[in-house]
Amino acid sequence: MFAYFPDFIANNPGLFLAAAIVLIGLFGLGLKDLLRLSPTRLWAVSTIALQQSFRRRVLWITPLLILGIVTVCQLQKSFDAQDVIRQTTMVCLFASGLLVTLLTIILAATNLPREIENRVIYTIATKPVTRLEIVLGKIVGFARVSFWILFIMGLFTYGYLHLRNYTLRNYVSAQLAAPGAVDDSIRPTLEYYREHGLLHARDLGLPDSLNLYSHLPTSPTDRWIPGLLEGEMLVRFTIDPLRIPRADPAADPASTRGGVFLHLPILYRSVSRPPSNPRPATSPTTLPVPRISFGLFNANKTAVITNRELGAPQGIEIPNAGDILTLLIPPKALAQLLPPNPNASPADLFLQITCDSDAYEYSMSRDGLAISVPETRHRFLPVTDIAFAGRDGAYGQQLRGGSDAPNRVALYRFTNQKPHPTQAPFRLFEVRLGVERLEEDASSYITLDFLNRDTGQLAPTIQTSVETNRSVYLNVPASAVDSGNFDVIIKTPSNAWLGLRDGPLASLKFVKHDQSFALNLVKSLFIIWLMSLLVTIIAIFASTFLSWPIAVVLTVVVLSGHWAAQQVVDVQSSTGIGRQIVNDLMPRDIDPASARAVSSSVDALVYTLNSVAAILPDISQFSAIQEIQQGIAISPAVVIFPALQVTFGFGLPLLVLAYAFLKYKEVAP
Amino acid sequence: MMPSDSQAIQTDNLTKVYRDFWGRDKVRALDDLNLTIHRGEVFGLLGPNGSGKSTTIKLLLGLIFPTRGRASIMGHPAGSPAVNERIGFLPEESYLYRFLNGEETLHFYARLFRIPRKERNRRVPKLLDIVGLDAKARKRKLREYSKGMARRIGLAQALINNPDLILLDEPTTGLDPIGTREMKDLILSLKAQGKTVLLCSHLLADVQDVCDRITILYRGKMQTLGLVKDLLQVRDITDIQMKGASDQHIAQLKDFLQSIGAPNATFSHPTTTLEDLFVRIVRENKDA
Ligand SMILES: Nc1ncnc2c1ncn2[C@@H]1O[C@H](COP(=O)(O)OP(=O)(O)OP(=O)(O)O)[C@@H](O)[C@H]1O
Ligand SMILES: [Mg+2]
Repeated sequence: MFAYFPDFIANNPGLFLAAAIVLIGLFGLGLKDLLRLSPTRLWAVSTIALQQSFRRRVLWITPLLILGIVTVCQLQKSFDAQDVIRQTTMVCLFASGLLVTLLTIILAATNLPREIENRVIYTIATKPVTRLEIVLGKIVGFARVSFWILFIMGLFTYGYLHLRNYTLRNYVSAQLAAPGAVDDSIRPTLEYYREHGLLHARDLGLPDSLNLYSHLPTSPTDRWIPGLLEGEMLVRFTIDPLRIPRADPAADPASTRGGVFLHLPILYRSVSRPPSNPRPATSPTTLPVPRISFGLFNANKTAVITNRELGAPQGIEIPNAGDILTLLIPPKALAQLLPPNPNASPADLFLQITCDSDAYEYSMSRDGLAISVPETRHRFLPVTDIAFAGRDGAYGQQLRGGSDAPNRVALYRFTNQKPHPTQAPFRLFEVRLGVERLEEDASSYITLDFLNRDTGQLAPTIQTSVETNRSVYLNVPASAVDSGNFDVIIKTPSNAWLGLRDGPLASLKFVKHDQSFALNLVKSLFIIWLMSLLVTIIAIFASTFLSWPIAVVLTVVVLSGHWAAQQVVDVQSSTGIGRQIVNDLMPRDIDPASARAVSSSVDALVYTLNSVAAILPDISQFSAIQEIQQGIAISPAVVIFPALQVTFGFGLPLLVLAYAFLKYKEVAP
Repeated sequence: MMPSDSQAIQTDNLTKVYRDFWGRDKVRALDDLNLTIHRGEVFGLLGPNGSGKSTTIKLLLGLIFPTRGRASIMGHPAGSPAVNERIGFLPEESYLYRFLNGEETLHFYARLFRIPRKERNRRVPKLLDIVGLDAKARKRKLREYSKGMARRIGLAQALINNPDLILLDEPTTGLDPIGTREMKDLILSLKAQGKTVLLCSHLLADVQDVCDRITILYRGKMQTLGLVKDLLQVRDITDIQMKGASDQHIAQLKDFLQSIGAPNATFSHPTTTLEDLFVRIVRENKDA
């Protein structure tokens, strides 16, 4: 177990550093002060910080801010009632968050340097107050300041949103009552607003999976993707490096030792083109050759092997239907995918396959799909089902529609998503997707079929018009979905590409329950408050050893550092970018030594930036606005815990450092 | 030497060198100070401007750290929170929160000593009476206080915990003559209660009136230390004082003194003799 310990440290340097600082600082240096810690003194110190802020009329900012918010909200243009509420929520919370952040930075960063400068600290530090109590007291004090500001802003936001909700609901009711004023496709949405209002905190059921097929499957094995790289098949393997013999560097370069075979049972069949769009007359009567491209990559995509590396940049021809395509991944290429340490634990490899030529559709069976070791004939089998996906577009996976591709479908699968029991005959679904329209001014619509997998019951097809990022609510017969296990088949008959998302931002969500909006607002404000707490700690930390203007700057830098480093290098996709740059941007005839130098220095830069990003706090974890804005109940596990983690994971060590710095600081200027 | 609880203050080779940003020596503000102040005495720390008096006090309070040497207060290292429970400190100027009023200020400092509310409500008005801040002044913000009022509230905050050791850095600056008088009376009454007082001042008359022992610092070095009455006594000179002497009386006295063999006797009006001492020491060292 101890053998793994250094690995653990190497993998979590930030966490280890944080724990070390807290333990050494608090229980080593500061044990005496920790034992002396008195809530009375701490509260007295914090009350001074609070009084100081209030007597400097800090609260007067709130009415100004409220005035600003109301002005901005009145000037905003929104395309429907829900959008009004969304924008208002966004403006209110964003403004409150910004105000509280800026204010705490300035108040907290200037406080200690000013007290040292005007020597009030003389009369504080000569009382039986420990430096720990001074640091903690000030943090608590500014946390109290931001609490009261957020309290006021929260009350205002609640009242203002309710006022807007009231007027909008009346407006929607009037619209619905006027005959012919409302299009049938948006009637359920407006009725939903009329019944439930526009302030929601819904508990949403998310789909397990999203698959895109070239036509609706008729059996579990009848699953196909289209050509032209518009679809892809994805599957995961788990490879145990111990099972693969080490390559011998002295061996014959043609040796397969240390490499593996990839066995791909690819199927293809020709598709009849829709008569409305026949092939151009000039095209040859013989069908084109079907080809695949593949990519094999590790979990964080730091290394990728494609058909290009195997000398086939145009793709690899698929043999006759029924034959298994076998490819050799040479030892050198494979070595990049696997962990360098031969004793490392098993690693995940992902295989992605795309296909060319739209004269065919393509499939792959799990039967015979394997990675095998030439020497031992050991076969690694896929550990997941094959996922059929669409190409990545601006709004998620692209689903093509219209007369060109009338058969394409997207299939959302929901499992165990039982609604809260009610008597209502309908269940509510929210659709929110992207539309990449092919013709100007055309309106886009989709059809949805709900299939209860337990009963086999199919609900009548629902058709609705859609706009990019606009929520549409659908009433679905309860019987089609109440078992909790159901499939939803989406088609797009209009001439557009849809962008469909999977996961937490899924484009189709099941509204299981509506919770209290006020509670959601409180949760949002709590997250903002946590952020202001972190900001306070950073600012006070900086001010223990810097003059206040520099402390303010350092606080801003620390807060934005993670984000900035990520802007430069996207942690997920661009590690291993060195080799890519050499491959893509350097002249082909560059000598290997300089190629290696370029590649490794780019990698070193990326590594540094990633380390910076790993050590600085990730303030994107304080996502207080997104959920409440979309009317989703904020889940503690998904939203609040990560925020708590960042606040304390980063704040606690900084607090201890601030204490240690102050303890050994001469507070007389 | 072991620090013992019987000494109020003890310093061993206490030295403070102020350094600049790059760590280079700038000012040697205090040089090898060895000082012992006993319990229950009123001790005067004298010296011209910039001689290191305030530096000594800051070192004793742990506001700054010694470059070399040690300071201990009532047997504890300087600056430890435990010993601060028993200390009162009046800084050179009143460094207090200017947005609080007099009463709030005292309540705040009392809370730092964890004095219960009931006791606070008793002690705060009493102290405000002692330092002579009237009911109106108590409710005003400190930023509106005059210099003397600020000194008075500063003194009150130094006494809030009923300290055993009180460090007063130039307590009488800014006070009117009555205030100065009251301050002296207060110091004497503190002494009567058995408390230890460390007093820094330029006003030598005040020091002479209240101090048991004094030391004179010059350029960070201790020059003289002793009981006030010993230091001021010059053994081979006898001072004869009389009231209402006419010129004729003086001529007769001169003749008489000459007849007993003391031809160089001088006749002058008495001065504040501590001032003499002070001026002499400063001048001697300046020439050296
Ligand atoms: N923070 C500092 N940095 C550099 N030098 C300092 C600092 N504080 C004091 N000094 C220097 O140390 C010396 C002693 O200063 P100190 O304040 O102790 O004098 P003092 O005896 O209290 O004088 P005063 O009677 O004017 O109050 C002075 O030369 C002063 O310039
Ligand atoms: Mg001084």
